[in-house]
Order: sequence, then structure tokens, then C-alpha cells
Amino acid sequence: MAAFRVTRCLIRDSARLRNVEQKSAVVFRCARRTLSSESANNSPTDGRSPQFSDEEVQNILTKITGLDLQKAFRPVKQELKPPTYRLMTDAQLAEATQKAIQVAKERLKMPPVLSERKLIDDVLAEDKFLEGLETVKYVFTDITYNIPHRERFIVIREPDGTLRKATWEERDRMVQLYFPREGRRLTPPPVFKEENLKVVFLQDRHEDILDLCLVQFEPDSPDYRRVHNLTYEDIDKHGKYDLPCSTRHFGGMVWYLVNGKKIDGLLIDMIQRDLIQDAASVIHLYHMLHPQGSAAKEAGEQQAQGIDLVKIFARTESQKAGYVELALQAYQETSTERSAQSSSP
Amino acid sequence: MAAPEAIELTRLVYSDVLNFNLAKDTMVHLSSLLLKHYHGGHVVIRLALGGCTNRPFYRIVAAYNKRARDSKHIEQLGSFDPLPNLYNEKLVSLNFQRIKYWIACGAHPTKPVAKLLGLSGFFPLYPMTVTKAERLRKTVAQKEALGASEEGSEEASESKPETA
Repeated sequence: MAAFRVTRCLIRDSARLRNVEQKSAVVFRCARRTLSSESANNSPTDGRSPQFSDEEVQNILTKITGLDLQKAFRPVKQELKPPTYRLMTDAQLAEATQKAIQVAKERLKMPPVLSERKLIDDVLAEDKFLEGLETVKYVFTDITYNIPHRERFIVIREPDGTLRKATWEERDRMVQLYFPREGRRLTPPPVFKEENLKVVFLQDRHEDILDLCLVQFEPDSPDYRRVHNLTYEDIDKHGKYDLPCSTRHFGGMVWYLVNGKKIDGLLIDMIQRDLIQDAASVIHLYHMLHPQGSAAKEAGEQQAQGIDLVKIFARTESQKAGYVELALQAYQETSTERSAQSSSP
Repeated sequence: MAAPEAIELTRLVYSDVLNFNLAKDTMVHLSSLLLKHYHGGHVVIRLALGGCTNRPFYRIVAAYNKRARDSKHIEQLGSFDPLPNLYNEKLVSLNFQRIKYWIACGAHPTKPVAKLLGLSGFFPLYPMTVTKAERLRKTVAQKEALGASEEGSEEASESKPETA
């Protein structure tokens, strides 16, 4: 019966994932153009610091995110439909579980982390003699269907006669007007203001706000980065690391924390939940990004793996060294107890 | 003089009919054949008015010259909203790829469309726009000159009674 329930949930929820997949696919497509020029040179042997889109980095982050099927497929607020029941053999059940895992992996695809977009201030023509003819701006948008939105011509003729390219905010607004995207609003909803974000964080709804942000803003806009940074800071401050765990935002959060060197809270949380391998991978990522640190050098000398990496890090570069070592000690005591219990009878 | 693409299409259709060779994926556009053939008509790119009372809205449209202003057009190429919005902008959308196609087919843009295309930078500036701007500046300069001369005469008349 329990197996029936699980399959029913899995099959019902895997059918609802189209929207989310499309969004992530579109966002990835937008990002791929900007990243395509860099991706050719993205090997660590190049001497540049590792980027978010490197294969190694992505592998580590996907491993840490985990794959909790129950959490990935928990009920999302959608149209109420009666569930479908299917009678399956064991082999078919295994197949269906495999498919569900594939779908969950798609859902857990991380949204890209891009550097902030540079301001556009390109003047195409200065016709000063047109000054005074108009009191309003004219915004000209090119609505040719087959060009990507990043390459569209959106041009503004000011009342003083200058013909300039539109700024990023104007571009977003125009593109949303003529090619509306589902879920995105013309003016960003007031949830994204500072005071309202605080209320959202008090209600522990970090994931929802991050999903909203993903739909509303472009990944390299300053608003997107501001909201994400605030959310990650709040999670770090209150230690609510299990909220984004096993969702698509976990990788982004880990990347932000590793870049800001604030991984102590995360490590303590992981050790307390007995995820030593994940903690080791986080520290490995940290060493990849900050190879000049003392911890990285020591680890390199001793070729440490697993729990030794964590110990070296706790000794050298961690800010909350005491807490980390305490947590490590507790973990080691429990693991010795468990091995003693399992070996005694 | 029928439109050149209509002649091409009639040739295509007749040849296909004669050869009984309509392959499944050739799409024969019969719409332009069924449109009325105008004697001496040509395709224009113009503004078609829509909207409500006290709220105009123009669509930039490729249509036959003899058709009514708002009736059946060949293709919509964009829009123009003459009333400024919250951000003090007048929004114009233009499908440049299709506009290029229709101009290549020999369509004539009307004056307001040509003005808009000139302001957008796609065409060179329409001459009347430049003339209007110059005339405006002339009138402004004249008004200023008048105003200055009036002030001067006022000052002179004020100083005279003071001195007198």
C-alpha cells in the first residue's frame, strides 16, 4: 500500500513539472549565450579562478544538494485533479521510479549565477536641432520574432533629440510588454522591497521568494542578485540550512557562501546531520576557489580526504573553530558508539 | 499593374495545377489571389486607427492603397501608441525584418510612418521633421527678440518718468 501511495504521488507530481522545467530551460538558454564565449576557456589549468559553470564545480554542488524525492515532489499549490492509479509489476515500478528520478534531476537544475550586467549608455545619434519638437520620449522596439531578446534593438529618441540605446530596466519592460512571459509582471511586486523581504524570511518562505525572483528578474540583473544575497545572508544568520536543501537553490547558496568565506555555519550543520562527505566536498570547493589560503596548502601537503580535510580546515581558517571542533568531536563519539553497538551483539 | 507577387503566385498555381504535382509541403497562398485586384493599386505601409473614444491607437500595417483605412490589411508590422504612458514615453513597435521585405516589394510608406521610421533611425530623418524643428526655433527666437525689445522699451519708458 505504501508503495502504491509513493508511486501515485510520483506519477501525479511528475506530470506537473512542465512549467518549472520550461522556466529553467529558458533561463539556461539566456545564460548560455553569455557564457558560451567563456565556456571554451573554462579549464582550471587556465589559471583563472573556477567559475560557477565549471563541470567540477557543478558536480560538487549537485552532489551536495542531495536528492530527497519526498521533498522534491512535495505538494505544490496547483489545480486540484483527482489522482490517477495504475497497477504495476515490480519491474514497471522500478522504471517509473527511474523516470521520476530523472524528472527530479531536471527540476533540481541550478539557475545560473552570472556576474552583474554592465550598464548600457550608447548614443547612436545626437540631433540637437530636434530639441523642443516633442515633450515625450519615443521608444522604438524591434518585434522581429526570431531574434533572442538580448540582441533586440530597443532604441529611445529623447525630447532633446538624442537617439540612444535603452537601459536594462527599459529593455526588460519593453520585452515583457511585447513578448510577455508567464508569471512575470511589468513592475516588480512590492515583496522584493527590504521591509517586506524581512516578513517573508520570518515566515520561513525563502524558497518561494527565490522561485518568484527567478521568474521575475533576469539572472544578471542587480535586483536578482540583491534578493538572492539577502536570502542567503538570512539563511546563514539563522542557520536554516535545511530549507534550501534538496532544492535547486542549494548550489547557488553554497557558491555564495564559499565565495564570501562564510561556510562555518554550513559545515556545523552538515556534521550535525552526519553528512561528512558533503562537508568534505564543500571544503574541497573552498580550496579550489581560494588556493592561496593556509588551509589549502596544508591539505595539499597532507593529501587529506574526508574527515581529515574538515579537521585541517577547522584548525586553520575557520572563524567558528570552537564550534566546528565540538561538532566533529560529537560526531566521532556517536560514530564510535554506533560501531561498538553494531560489533557487540 | 498587379502586384508582382500576385503574378508569381498565379504562375505557380497554374503550373502546379497543369502538372498535378502539388507536393504535400508546398503551401499555396491563395489569399492574395482572392483579394480584389485594383487597377493601379499598390501596397502602402500606413497607420490604421483603432482604440476607443478619446483613446486612439494606431497599428502600422501593410495594406493595398485602395482599401479602407481600418479594413483588411495584408500584414501588421507594428503598433504606435500616441498617448504617453506612466514613464512619459510613446511606445512604437516595428517589425524591421518584415518592413524591409515590404519595402523591397515596392511598398510606399505614408508621411507619419516615414516620420516614425526617421525618428527611430531606420530611415534618415524625414525632411518635414527638420523643417518643423527649424521653424519652431525661429518662432522661439522671434518671441525672445520681441520680448527683449519690449522689456527694453519698458525700461526706457520707466526711466524717463523717473528722470523727468
